[in-house]
Amino acid sequence: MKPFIHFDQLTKKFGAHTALDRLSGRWEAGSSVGIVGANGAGKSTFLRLLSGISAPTSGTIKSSGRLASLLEVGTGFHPELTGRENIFLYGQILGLRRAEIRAQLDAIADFSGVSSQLDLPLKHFSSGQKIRLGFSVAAQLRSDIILLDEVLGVGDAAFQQQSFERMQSLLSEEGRMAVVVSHHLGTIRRMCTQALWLEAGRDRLSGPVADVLEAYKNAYAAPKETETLPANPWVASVRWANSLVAGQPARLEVELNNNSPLQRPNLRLTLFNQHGEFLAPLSPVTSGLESILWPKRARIVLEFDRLPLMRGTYHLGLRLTENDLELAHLPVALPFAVEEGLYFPKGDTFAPRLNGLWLDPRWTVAESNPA
Amino acid sequence: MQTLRLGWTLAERDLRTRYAHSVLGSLWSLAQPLAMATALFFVGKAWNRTISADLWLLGWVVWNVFSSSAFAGALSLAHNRELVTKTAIPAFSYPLSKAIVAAVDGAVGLVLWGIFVVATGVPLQAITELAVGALFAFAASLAGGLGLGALLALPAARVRDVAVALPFLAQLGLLLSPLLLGASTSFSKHLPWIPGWGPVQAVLTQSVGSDSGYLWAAAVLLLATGYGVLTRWGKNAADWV
Repeated sequence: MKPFIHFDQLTKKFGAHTALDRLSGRWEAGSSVGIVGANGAGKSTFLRLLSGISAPTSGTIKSSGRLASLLEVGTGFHPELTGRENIFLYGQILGLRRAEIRAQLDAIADFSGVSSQLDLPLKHFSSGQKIRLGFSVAAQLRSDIILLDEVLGVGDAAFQQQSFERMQSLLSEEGRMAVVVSHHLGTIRRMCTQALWLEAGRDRLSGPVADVLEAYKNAYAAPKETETLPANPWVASVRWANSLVAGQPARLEVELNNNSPLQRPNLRLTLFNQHGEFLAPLSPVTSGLESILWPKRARIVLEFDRLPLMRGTYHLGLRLTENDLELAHLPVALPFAVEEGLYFPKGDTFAPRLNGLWLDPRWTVAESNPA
Repeated sequence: MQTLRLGWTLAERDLRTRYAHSVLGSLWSLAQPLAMATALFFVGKAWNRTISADLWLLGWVVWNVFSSSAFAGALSLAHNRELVTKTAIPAFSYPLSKAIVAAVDGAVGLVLWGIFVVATGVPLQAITELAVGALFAFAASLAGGLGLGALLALPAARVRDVAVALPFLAQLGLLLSPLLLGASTSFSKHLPWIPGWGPVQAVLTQSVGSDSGYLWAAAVLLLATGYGVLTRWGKNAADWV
């Protein structure tokens, strides 16, 4: 029998709060399903029910095929055990047998990139190395159904790509299916064929991934101009001072709530496109404005003579540090939209459907020297 | 089978990491029963001279198997919050892992006891009789302790008062065990495993006689009930811990 997951009238309540409300559906092998929704929509609860970690208050779940869930990378790792011992421990926790792990040990070590440290206690690994090790074990799972909760965005950019390709390769094998929870719409779009949009525990929309993501993006990611999202005591506001048109002047203002001066401060802004994919970093220090001290209630202003963004929707992430210690981290500090405009005075020959950056390098054309 | 395999995995993790950073390392598993047996020997000698040192040691070993598997097992869900909420490990694997650790400790204690009785010149026939009784008591204590631990694991995860009270009850049980020993042994002078169940066995012996069948019945009943409860309602632990 081909692997499938069938859930009917699935409901989960925590006291008076209904986390999931009468969800029903059936997913067959060969399909990968992305679950999207705002924080608290019930995505992780849903995945925990499918995994068998938690029981539904009412409703039923039926599935066939070997099922493995990866809700967090490295759950159960013990700092006193060596990397090698933790591979065996974590692999068994995920459902692999010792023989399977032993057979895959070299592959796990190679994939993780920490093979030279395998016999050191895990407490001597950096957090990035622990994550790499954990994911490398999980990447050996040979299950018919894989449930993933925000685990493809771990590690550095190179490792994320490596992890993503590994998962895609696993899912390309016949008879596999995956259920993926992610806020990273780019991951869902690239990995899944179907999507389910949860809102307050209910099935708001399900169907082909492109349709669901488009509707979700329009409803949630549609930005409000100059919207301010202060969600941290250190950050009073983040706002654009003007409406945003491609190629036109733009001014971003970040106001801090610091009651005393900040020493060796830095503000790192990260630009993402509508799919949550990284586009560019922005930082006063990188741009040459290295400050020893910022005043109380500092206001940091970033100005573009010509906004180098194509028409579309974006968001900025924000990280504030003092003496390299993190004070604030807002993954989505400011969503915003850019209207169509002329970045190049003479116009351009593109009509981009996707949002991205305009670049204006210096071009030269000359006859190449004959060899 | 998966339950057993994962129980063993968790037990292995506990055993490997238990004595990390200690100077004596795994020698502690020998030092602890030795120290406790010595203490109990002198207490017993002062209180009841009819109980020999080897019986005290045996009693302590078997009681420890019971109390460790029961009380560590009862706290096993509450103390493994990360695993309980993020992995699909069957709930019974958690108390089972604690019972496996208790069994390993108990086995070390039994070996020590064997060395002790041989060294003190106890006749071979008496050793054999005691050893057979001890093994039965060991198995019953392990089964009963695991069952009780499994039975209490969900309440301890749900109501923190249970988790707080359990270590205290374990200590109390150890004290009651030798105190009730005298009363329980009045029915039979050759029940070396009586201290193993301490108060439980004492009550059983007083009320229904010294037939070990009742002890086994109690152990099997506890084990079946504990397993049934965790199999049926174990998934609630992820919401409670």
